[in-house]
Amino acid sequence: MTIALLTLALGAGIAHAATGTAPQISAGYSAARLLDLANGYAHDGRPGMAVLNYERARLLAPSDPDIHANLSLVRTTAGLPPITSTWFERHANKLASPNTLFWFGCIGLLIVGSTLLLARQYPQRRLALGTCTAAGFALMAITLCNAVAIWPMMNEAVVIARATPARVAPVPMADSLMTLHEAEILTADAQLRDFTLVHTDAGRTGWVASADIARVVPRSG
Amino acid sequence: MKLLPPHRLRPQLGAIAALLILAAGAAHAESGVTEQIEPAEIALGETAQLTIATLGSTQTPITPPVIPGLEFVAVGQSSQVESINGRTTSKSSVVYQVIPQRVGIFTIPGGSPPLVLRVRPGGASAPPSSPGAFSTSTAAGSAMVASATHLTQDGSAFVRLRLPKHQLYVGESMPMDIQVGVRDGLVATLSGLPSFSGDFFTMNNLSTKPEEAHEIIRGQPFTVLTWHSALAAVKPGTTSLTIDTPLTVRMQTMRPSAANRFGDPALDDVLNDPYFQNFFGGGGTTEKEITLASPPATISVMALPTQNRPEGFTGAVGHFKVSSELSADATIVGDPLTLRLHVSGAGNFDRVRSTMLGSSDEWKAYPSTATFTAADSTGYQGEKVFEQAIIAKESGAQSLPGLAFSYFDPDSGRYATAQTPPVSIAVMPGAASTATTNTQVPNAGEGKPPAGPIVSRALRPDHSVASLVPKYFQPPFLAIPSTLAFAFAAAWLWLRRREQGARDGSAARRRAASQATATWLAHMEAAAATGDAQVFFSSARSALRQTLAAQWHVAPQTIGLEDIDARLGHDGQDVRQLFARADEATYSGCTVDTADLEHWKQVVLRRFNESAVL
Repeated sequence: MTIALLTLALGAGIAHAATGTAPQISAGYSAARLLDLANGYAHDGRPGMAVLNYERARLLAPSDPDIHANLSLVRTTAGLPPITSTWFERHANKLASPNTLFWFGCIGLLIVGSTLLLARQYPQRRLALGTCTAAGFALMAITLCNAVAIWPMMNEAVVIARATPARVAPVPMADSLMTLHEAEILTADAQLRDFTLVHTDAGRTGWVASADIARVVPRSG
Repeated sequence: MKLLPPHRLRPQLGAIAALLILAAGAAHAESGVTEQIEPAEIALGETAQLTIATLGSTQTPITPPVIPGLEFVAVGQSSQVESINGRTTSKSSVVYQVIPQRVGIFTIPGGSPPLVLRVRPGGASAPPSSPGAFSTSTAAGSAMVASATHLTQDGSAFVRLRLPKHQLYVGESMPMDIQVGVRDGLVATLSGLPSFSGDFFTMNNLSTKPEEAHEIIRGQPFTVLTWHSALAAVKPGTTSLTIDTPLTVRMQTMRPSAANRFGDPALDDVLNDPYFQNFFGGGGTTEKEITLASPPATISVMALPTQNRPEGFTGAVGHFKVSSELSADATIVGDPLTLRLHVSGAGNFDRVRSTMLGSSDEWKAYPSTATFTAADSTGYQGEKVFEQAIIAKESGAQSLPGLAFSYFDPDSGRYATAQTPPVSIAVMPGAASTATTNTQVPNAGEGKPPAGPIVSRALRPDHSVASLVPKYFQPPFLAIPSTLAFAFAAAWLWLRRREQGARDGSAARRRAASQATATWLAHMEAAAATGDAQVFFSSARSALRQTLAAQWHVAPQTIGLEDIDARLGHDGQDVRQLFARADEATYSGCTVDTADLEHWKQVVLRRFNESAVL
């Protein structure tokens, strides 16, 4: 019920309420909405869906401290270890959102290209133009590092069902290798019929029902 | 050794018996026997429940009291052994169903103070149908009715059925208890499990390990083994159900002298008891295989009515309740949800099926899975949960239709359809992963809300994106930097090519000018040799024009005295003089000597060489 009210509140703009028109749910993903949706799931005792939406919100707002705090709290409550990441991943992810960094990279490319062309025409201003070229390269490098850090998340998935069995083969009657906990983050690999091949952080591999997991970044968008 | 006569032995045996009773009383006190009866007053035809519990370091067997007018039927028992700091204590309890045979006030010994059961008139009495048969009424708290207890001819065993009713519908299941009572010491082993013949019923989930209890029947202790099972009717008709149980009976062959040895019927009965004789090694035994049958129970099986049969009826017969739940109150388009249908109650759960939700324009539905959790050992009662993965196709406020489940109610004799209410859910836009069959299983310890505070904040306008995939991984956006890079590369190449072309054009012009100059110099040499001043100065002027034109990137014919003054200044004085002499020779036809021609030839060559250096 909490989530239903929350979702309706998310979609219904204040202006709509003031004018009395029917509430419309705005399209797309936003960090604030995903954070509130995740909070609703967390309050309802659904850590899997909560972690999924926190991870999605973290993708859009990587430097938001509330998202990190809530994500850590939900993971701890669900009995999962805290998130571990390398220095590179921490700093490359926290600079700005990937979409912002994309535009930074484009601007960097624009600067590099322009200054290299101008340097050909005006060799006497080579020093000033060279500085600008270096700045452009720096922007491009930051974007590239962020893309490298984000790339693993493209295949991450969260266990949204409770006590999900990972099986030796992609069939329902196959032997169970291990039981995955709700809210556990996996690396999703190949998909075959109704099952997805997943890898755990511990290096174990198994097939789980595709409906029991949800990709942090949906394949279709 | 001299034997005492029987009449002098009797007081001594009485003393021994008194000592045994005292010892037993002491053991009773040490082991802590407690008795409780509920209720203390009942009407004839009703039953009470007697619980006898022992607590102590040693396991004391519990036997029901023997009271004329009361029958004790064991309905349950439990035992618990604890070992704390090396001291082992055991706790056992047996629950007996107390069935009064007559009105009166009965004192049940063993408790302190003794328990009293008052039986008042009223209710249906259950008189014995025959001297060897005892009938039990409906068990307290249960709808199971036991059939009559028919002992074998030698009184060693019996088989009886406990059924809740004797009318069934085809497909209906009902619980059934099979009780085999064997007298201690007379029956060696059970040779097999109880079974029945005929094709009217199937017996499902017969428990492999029977419950064991003790009963006193006709004053003799019996060990009663109870199997729980579910009986399912297969076809209509009326039939007699008889349960057969193979037994190995130990037949006692007593010495004739043992009978009526002391002349006291009570003492002789004790001494002639097979148990007593076995203990002292008296008499011989032979074993015999017999098959014991229960009294036939007439059961009528009726066909299910064809009238008003619901369309979705799958053969479920019983009493069921349905409820449904959705795994979330809100979702995103493309995210999987789990729809669950709970069917609980009592009946033939193997025929409980549901097609769940079908795919529609708003929802994509996957095949459902079912899980049955039995509430009893026979699977007659329990809960069946159907789980189905569904995915919302469209955003907005959606509603899931209610799920219907049809069954046949044997009590009312009518079909019933249970319907769950529709479920409302808010669906947010946004694509998500594909999903398939969902098998969410509840897990202990999970599903708890966080213990700490969740940081929430007021909603504020926020930038939305259509996709969670970063733009630098999206092909449409990747075209932007690709186009930029291509444009810059093309511009750079164009610039480079243009410069290269410029360099190539200049060199060609220089080569052409050099060739033209060489030609004019050859003409000049020839004129100098012949002394033709006009041709000499004209060729020298043309050679200088070619040289200067290549140097100044202008057309040779456009170079005049003004250009020479403007570009060369004072340094171009000799060139200016040569141009003047060329005009003079052309228009006045002057003559010059050889030394003068050589001087002007050197002027031209110097200019030509300077131009080549540049």
